[in-house]
Amino acid sequence: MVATREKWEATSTLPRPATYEQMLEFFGIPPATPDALDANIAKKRRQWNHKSNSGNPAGRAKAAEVLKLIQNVSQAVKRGVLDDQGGGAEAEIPATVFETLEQLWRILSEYVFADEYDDALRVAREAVNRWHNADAASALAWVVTSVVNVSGFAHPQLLAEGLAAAEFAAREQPGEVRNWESTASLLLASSRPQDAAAAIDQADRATGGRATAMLYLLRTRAMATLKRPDEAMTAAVRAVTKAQPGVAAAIRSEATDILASWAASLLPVRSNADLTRYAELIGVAAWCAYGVPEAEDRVRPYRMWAINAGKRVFVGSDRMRSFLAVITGFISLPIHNYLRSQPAWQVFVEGMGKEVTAHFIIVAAPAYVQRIHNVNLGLAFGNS
Amino acid sequence: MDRIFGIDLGTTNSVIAYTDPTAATEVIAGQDGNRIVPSVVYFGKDGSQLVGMSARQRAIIEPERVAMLFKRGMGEKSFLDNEAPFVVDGKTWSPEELSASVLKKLALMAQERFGEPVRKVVITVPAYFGDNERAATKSAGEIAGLEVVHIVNEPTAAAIAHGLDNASAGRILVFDLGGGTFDVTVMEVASDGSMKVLATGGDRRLGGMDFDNLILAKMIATARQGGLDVETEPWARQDAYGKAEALKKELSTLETASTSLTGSGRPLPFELTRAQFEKLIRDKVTATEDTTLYTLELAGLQPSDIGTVLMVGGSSRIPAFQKMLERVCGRPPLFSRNLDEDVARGAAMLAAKEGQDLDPRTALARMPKPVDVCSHGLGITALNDEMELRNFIMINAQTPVPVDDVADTFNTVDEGQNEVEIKLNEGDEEDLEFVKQLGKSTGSFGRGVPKGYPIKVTMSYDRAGMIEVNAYDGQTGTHMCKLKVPRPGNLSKAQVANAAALYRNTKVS
Repeated sequence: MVATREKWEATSTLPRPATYEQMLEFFGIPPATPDALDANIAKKRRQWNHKSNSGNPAGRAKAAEVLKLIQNVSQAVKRGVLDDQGGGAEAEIPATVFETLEQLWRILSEYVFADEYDDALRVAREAVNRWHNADAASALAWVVTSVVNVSGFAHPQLLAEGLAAAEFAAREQPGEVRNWESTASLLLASSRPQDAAAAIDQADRATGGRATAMLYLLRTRAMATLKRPDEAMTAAVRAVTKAQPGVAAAIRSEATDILASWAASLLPVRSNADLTRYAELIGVAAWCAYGVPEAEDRVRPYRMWAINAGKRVFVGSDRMRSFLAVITGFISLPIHNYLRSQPAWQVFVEGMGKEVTAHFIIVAAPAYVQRIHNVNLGLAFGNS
Repeated sequence: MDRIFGIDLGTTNSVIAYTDPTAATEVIAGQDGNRIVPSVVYFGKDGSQLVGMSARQRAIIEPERVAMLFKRGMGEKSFLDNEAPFVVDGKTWSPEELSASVLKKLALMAQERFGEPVRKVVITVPAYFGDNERAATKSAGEIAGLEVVHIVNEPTAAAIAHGLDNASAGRILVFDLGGGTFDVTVMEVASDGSMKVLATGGDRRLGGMDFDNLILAKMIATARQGGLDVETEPWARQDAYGKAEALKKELSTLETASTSLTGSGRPLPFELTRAQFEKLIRDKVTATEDTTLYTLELAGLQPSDIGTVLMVGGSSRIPAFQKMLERVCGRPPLFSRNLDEDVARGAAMLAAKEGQDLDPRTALARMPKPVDVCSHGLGITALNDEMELRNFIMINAQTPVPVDDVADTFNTVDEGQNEVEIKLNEGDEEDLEFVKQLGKSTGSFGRGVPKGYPIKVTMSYDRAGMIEVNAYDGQTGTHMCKLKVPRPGNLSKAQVANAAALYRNTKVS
């Protein structure tokens, strides 16, 4: 009875940050044309709304998350696009609702913390249109940064608008750290990590060395994107050491996520050099996670692999080993053990997809190994 | 001959009605004159229970001894949002037992009216309720000492009460938005008045109470800005919740409504406009629109194919939903004559048909009995051509019951495979993440067979709700395994019997 479902309707994930093209693909454009955007958003939302009422609690939970993702992405692709009058949707608030900068920030904070981003954008743009100064630009940049950070997605026009405001504010008010945080954040969201790193360096100079934990966190992300591990780890450590007590847990958690995600992308380890880099990243991630239980839980299985992946596993014939040991009076035993053993990572990588051996089971059976490698090998123990 | 009563066992309110042999229907009132009984249970310290408005009033003072909204947990272990058990005085109360308290109260009201005990009932459930939830509802009846003659879909009952059981009705869309659940059903009325459900949809956690909570959240935020805290004291929060509900109801007819919040020892005025309320519930309205359109899609219909749109349930009074339906279906919806009582009236009319003393000259006597149908698809887990595990549906949703020996052939996937595992699922999706597994069984060929060897699977579903699946060697016809799954409920037979024994001695008023 139901028309055949298209593949895009069932896709339930999107990378963060996602490009505008990826966001459109999420809604089936192409193959559909851009004017089908509203209809496709509704179609996808209807399907997942139906799934959110399935009899399977796990399915219901997943569908609820996907519905949230659909809402975020659909708002992102449509939000922030200015109409001919220079505003967004029809204004609901009178233009004179704020007179001072303090009032403006209070209103914007209330809107942002209530997730009313469209209203926040409208008010911030009203401020820019009225005042044409760095204060208003700083406020607009902050709102755009908040929108992007919460949803992880943004229309390129909105990004450009926010970035222009942030850069203007940073030029006019170089001592105001918030302006640099917005600039770096929006540069990262615009897939310009090199420029984000440069902006952070500039912020450090402009503020007389008062770069905040947040700026170092943004630097960590920029270096991770640029695949510069030493600089990423250094920035992560600085972010954690500079964090104020009220936000320390959040900074630690975020730094852990950045480094752990990077380390996870290096799996499966295929060389000793890979293992060294992986272990370094995880070591620093574990240090960042200290004292934050959920961050520690996240990094724990990766840490276990970092410890065990380099250990040598005997892969030769036990019979031959016994025979040689006996005929050589056990002198050959340690040499034979060493020559016929491999690091655990090698046993894992070379054993994947082949007939299961006892050595492979020793290495791959623990649940944490399969979980971090995203495989379910159905081995005899330790699996869920 | 025992009278058979019709009961609308709702999430927020319940109603009992009776249709006499002349087909006249009466909604039964309690001694306090109220025909609508809040589905709320208060547990007294002496072991007695209060059900209804008086229990609801106790929620302000002793919220920890009051249970409400338990219909949302039917067929599951808990009805609370955090999935914690509901415990009073060391005893855990299941949704079935709490529903039994409400049923017992309704039965007492009918007993007072007619002077004889109530033994047999027809109870309504949302159309999208699966077998688990229907079985749980039946268990609730048994615990209350009642014989549940039939479980009937709420939209069907509402349509019958509204007089839509005639051929001119054509295709009907029933939009039932109650206190706790939302139900959309697309039906077709044949020339003989028989009703066939084409598709159902709904949201088990969407109803008037969710709108109350949205207003409550706004109240709390406003109060906080005014230096008032309504959250720290349970009574203050409960009081605010009651006011939120009252505001919601006022905004169905007024453009602005106001009240005063209390907490921290002082009052604070609170005002809400209809526009502000509609902004608060915008996402919920969109969700109901999505469900409506999707259900039409499942039925293979366009909105323009619908002849009649019927709104049922108290929350249908909210203008935003009426406007949405008018926009989607291109016609103003009809309202159930009595939004709060029509489901019970329809249940009573169907209950009269189950009895045998209905006057044959009445239109009700001539109306065909609604056919029992499978509420959700039933399928088997197997690998598709891309070697992905999927749910293969063998009995589609809305198939009339009983269903005898529907058969399909599957194949082995490995060379030398010597056994097969049959997993039975309930749900309409192919993706296993969105179906519920009801049971499994393993059968052996007795030898290794080649890849692609046929396995014949048959499935049956009888009137008592028993699902039976058999697997056979596709070449030799040898029986390999059987899986029998009764309509599962959350409570076992022994648990139901124990609870029923407890309830025989429990005072409910």
